[in-house]
Amino acid sequence: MSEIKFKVPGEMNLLGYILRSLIERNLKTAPGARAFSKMKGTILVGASQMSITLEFTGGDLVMAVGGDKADTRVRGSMDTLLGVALGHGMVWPVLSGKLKVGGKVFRLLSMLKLMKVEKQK
Amino acid sequence: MTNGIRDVLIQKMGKEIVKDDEESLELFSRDITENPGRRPELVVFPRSAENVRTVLIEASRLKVPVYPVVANTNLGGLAIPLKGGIVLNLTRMNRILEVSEDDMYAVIEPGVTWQDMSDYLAENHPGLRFAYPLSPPDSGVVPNCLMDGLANLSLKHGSASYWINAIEAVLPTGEMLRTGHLAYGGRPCANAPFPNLNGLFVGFAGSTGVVTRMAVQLWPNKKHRRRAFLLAYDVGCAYGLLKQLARDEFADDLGTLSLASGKMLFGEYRPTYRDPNEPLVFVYIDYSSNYEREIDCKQQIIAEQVDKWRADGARFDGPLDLEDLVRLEPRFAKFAKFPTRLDFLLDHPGGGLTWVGTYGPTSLFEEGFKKGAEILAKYGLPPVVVCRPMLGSHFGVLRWITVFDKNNEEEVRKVHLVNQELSDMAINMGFFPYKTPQWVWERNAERIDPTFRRLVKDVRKLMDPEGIMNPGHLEFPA
Repeated sequence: MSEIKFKVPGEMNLLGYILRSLIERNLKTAPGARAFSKMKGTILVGASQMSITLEFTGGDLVMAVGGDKADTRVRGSMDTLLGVALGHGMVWPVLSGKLKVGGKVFRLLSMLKLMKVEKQK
Repeated sequence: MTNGIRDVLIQKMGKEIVKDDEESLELFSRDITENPGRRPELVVFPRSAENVRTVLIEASRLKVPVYPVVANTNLGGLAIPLKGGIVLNLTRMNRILEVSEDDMYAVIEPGVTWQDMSDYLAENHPGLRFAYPLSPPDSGVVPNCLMDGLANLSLKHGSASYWINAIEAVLPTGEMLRTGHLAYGGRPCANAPFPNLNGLFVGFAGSTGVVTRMAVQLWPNKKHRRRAFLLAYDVGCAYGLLKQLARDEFADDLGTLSLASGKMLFGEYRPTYRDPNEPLVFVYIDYSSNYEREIDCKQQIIAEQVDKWRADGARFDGPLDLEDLVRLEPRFAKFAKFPTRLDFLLDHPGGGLTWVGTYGPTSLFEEGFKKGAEILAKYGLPPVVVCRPMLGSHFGVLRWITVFDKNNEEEVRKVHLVNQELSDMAINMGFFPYKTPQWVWERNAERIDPTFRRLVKDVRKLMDPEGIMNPGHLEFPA
């Protein structure tokens, strides 16, 4: 049973709540659950001035506000990040510099599977 | 206590509408607020104005208190039967008697709920719309109009008493009063040109009679409706933008919800933590049009205005269309269609919900937001704050909401102190609580103009010589 926890209970920013909700919903899909169970390492996600660290341990996730050490980093405006979740694609934001990525960037492809939302009907 | 009125009412109206079983009495002895409860002796469920008249005549004769209620969800404790007596439950008088497509009004009974109105209009008059509050869908339209609540079209049409065209009421003496164009049997399309006797019931906390019919305004429904959300990192900029958009007069509704409200939507019961890098408020902008070109144009104008604010240094994320927001977080669907039930405020351990909701000048929103948040933080409570400009921004609502555990005495005491402090702060600033709880009147009686106090008392005495209606509410200490 996968578990998503806040490192300090009750201490989370809006970005963290949004990401947790997205990940929880994707965990209910087969591709999402598969990606989650394989994820290991830390990802630092920054949106506008908020940031959170996601620590994946191959089946569980611990989320914490802020952080400066991570294997993978992604940062952009909230609008850009939410746009990626909404399916607007990640390539153009990265190429145009709206989304800055660093570290083990291929891990972001798995992350993308965990934060995407259903396509518009 | 009820001086034999039970038997008289049963004899005149039948046993099925007069209840005094434990369950009924218990149910109506308290509400969801921190205000102390009190058991009534009877709960009566009238089916007609004639039933209401019978109750009021007998109650006046036997001097038994009467407390009219619909949903019992008033957040000022105004439905609590402070002196016992009869709870007059109006939920069975729930007919929508007439809707005029051409003259855009509806005539409704006092038990009609927001959900009833919404369903009825959608099914029978899709070309018309009504305004809906954030109250539970099963709460009553008429009480909200009489208590001057607000809703999602209040930016355009003012607080709910502004929507009243005419009423029919049973006075405690048993007389029937009809106002506006109902006074002579005309179509109740307005109150003008009559003296506004609706005012005898507005803001009087049910102390002057029981409204048994109300004609309310309806407005044209629009083909296209959109709602945009922004995240604002500076409260002053958020209210600056609201002020500007309100004066542009193209939005149906504008407002802000503090970040803590958003976190509660995500399931956090008491979000007191704040990351200093987080936004402070959600700004929402609701707009509509019959024309796709016009609504696209409005959307473009909103984006341009936000960009201008950004160019001046304001920090906003968005605007994000509600449809996208709901895709990102389905719980935001709560804000997509009204009436709506905000379960994150209602369904939690202990089930307590209270607020200090005030009306005052929109120019003081920022100051009020900050001062209120400081008070809530002092008590370890999250800053759940709602602001909305109303009536073209001539005034607005500033509301601090607290959820709490009703079974925890310490919390109840704390919540009462918080509300007192919030109310004092608001009144000192120039805001006054609407749906005014009795404790606010008591606490501030000396500040209120003595002639105003005397006239309120005199009007009540004139309308209700035996003092049976809602005693204990809207009373100024001697």
